[in-house]
Amino acid sequence: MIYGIIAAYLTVTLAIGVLGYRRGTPTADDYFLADRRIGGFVLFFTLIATNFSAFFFLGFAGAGYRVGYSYYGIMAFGTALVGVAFYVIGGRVRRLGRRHGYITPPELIGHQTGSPTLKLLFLTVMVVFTVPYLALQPIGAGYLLSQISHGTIPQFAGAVGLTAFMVAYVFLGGMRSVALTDVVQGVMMFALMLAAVLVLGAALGGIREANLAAQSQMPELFSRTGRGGFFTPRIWFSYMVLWVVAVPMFPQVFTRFFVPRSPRALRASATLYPIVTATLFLGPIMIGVWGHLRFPGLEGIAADRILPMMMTELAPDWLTGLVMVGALAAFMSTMDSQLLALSSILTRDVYTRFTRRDVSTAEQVRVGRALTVVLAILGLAIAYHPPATFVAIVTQAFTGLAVLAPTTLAVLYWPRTTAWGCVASILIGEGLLLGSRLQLLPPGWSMGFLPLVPILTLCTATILLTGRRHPAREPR
Amino acid sequence: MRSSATWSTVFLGMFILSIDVWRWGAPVALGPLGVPRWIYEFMGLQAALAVALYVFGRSAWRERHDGERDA
Repeated sequence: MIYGIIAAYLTVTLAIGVLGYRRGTPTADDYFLADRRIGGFVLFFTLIATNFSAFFFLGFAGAGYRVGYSYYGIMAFGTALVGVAFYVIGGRVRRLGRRHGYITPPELIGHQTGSPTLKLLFLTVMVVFTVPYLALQPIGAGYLLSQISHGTIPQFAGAVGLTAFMVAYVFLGGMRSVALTDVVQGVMMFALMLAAVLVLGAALGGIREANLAAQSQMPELFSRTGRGGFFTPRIWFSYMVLWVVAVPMFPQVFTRFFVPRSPRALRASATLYPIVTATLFLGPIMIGVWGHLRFPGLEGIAADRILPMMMTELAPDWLTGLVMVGALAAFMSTMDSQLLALSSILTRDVYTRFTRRDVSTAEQVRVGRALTVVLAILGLAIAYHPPATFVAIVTQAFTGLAVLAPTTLAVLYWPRTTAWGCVASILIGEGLLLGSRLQLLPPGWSMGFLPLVPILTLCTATILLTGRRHPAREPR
Repeated sequence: MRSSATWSTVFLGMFILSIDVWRWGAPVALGPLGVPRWIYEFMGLQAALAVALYVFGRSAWRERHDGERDA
């Protein structure tokens, strides 16, 4: 039964991917950006499906189990604030992209500042910090398939199979296929998470009863600070800042700012984003909290499996299969976008830059497709030995990419920005992050905040202190 | 300019409301479905943010006027 459901989902997804391929033309603009003609409906779903990844199904539920309801506060509202960035960053990126023909974020940053060095640094940071996040998706897919097949499908074999399938439709149809499949995947994520909450709640005697039982067993899960005082006010503040500056810097999200057909499409996405975070994010957290009723005592990475464990224990097989397919949709919708964004960056900003300048758009599409395959293999290679827990991986990637936010905002809005100031800002930011990870900095250097906060402060100060005395003359 | 300052204040105000540490020590009260009441407050804050983003996009967002029709 479960295998039939998965097969049906994959067939529909591939059919939609082929549809995107048949409607496309072999140009770089069309393959990488769907000819910049994505409307509001598809844009909204491709943004949420791209941003809500494996972490949404497994990581959220795992965090709900470990920390409790307080995780909803920082994840939901912090992510909702990204809607502001759709206007502040997305609107201007879209306009500049159309005016100058930019396809990748480094192209925009490099051309606007006239600095190949900054462009190269910007793309290096994007690639280095997105690849670990890319590897998160097959790790999750492997967990899920292994769980729902009761170990029949080994974790890594499942990851390989799903990745190969996804590469097929990215290879064929590029952004148009990815965006169209995102609509299906986004709807499935939303509907199936709702179904999971309702069914698990009913199996536990009702949602209210399940919550009361969980509170009676572990009241800390309902507190503002989270279990074990997980959140301090400074950590809470840090997380609220983290998402809004980091999410737009993910290449797969930044690239989507180039594709809206109109400003109205972007506005619709910005407006609907908080609605989705308000409702959708509560489900996995709630399931994680309820997990203590059936599976007490899970620690570390084991807690990230709580959602499939609860489904397998309490829901009928057919629904477990459907919900797991929803989780697979979350993996695939993020990983396909990451693959496409990274392949476009490596094609446009590395291949055409370091081979020859007159690469035809048809050749760019061929190279982009080949790189999609190479990147997928790289992601799987990392997934073969998964490091730490999901939360640790994602937090690393978010902070590393957030370092690019002050540079991006300065390039878009501050005419006194200098390229070397941006280079210095990024190098200082990444250097501090590395120093923090390697524990080379004195204890307490971040003053109780996540390292992101002092890092962003110093990055911004660097750009401001290195600004021109007078605004640049070149209009943007 | 005044509009820009107004909207910055609105969004900054919502951000500050999301860091309501002054209420953290209060006992946790449960709302409908046994979910902590403060969760519902966060949902309300997100609904308010959605409304603010919509109104901002309609009335004060400069990009929609930059050489393109808003449709």
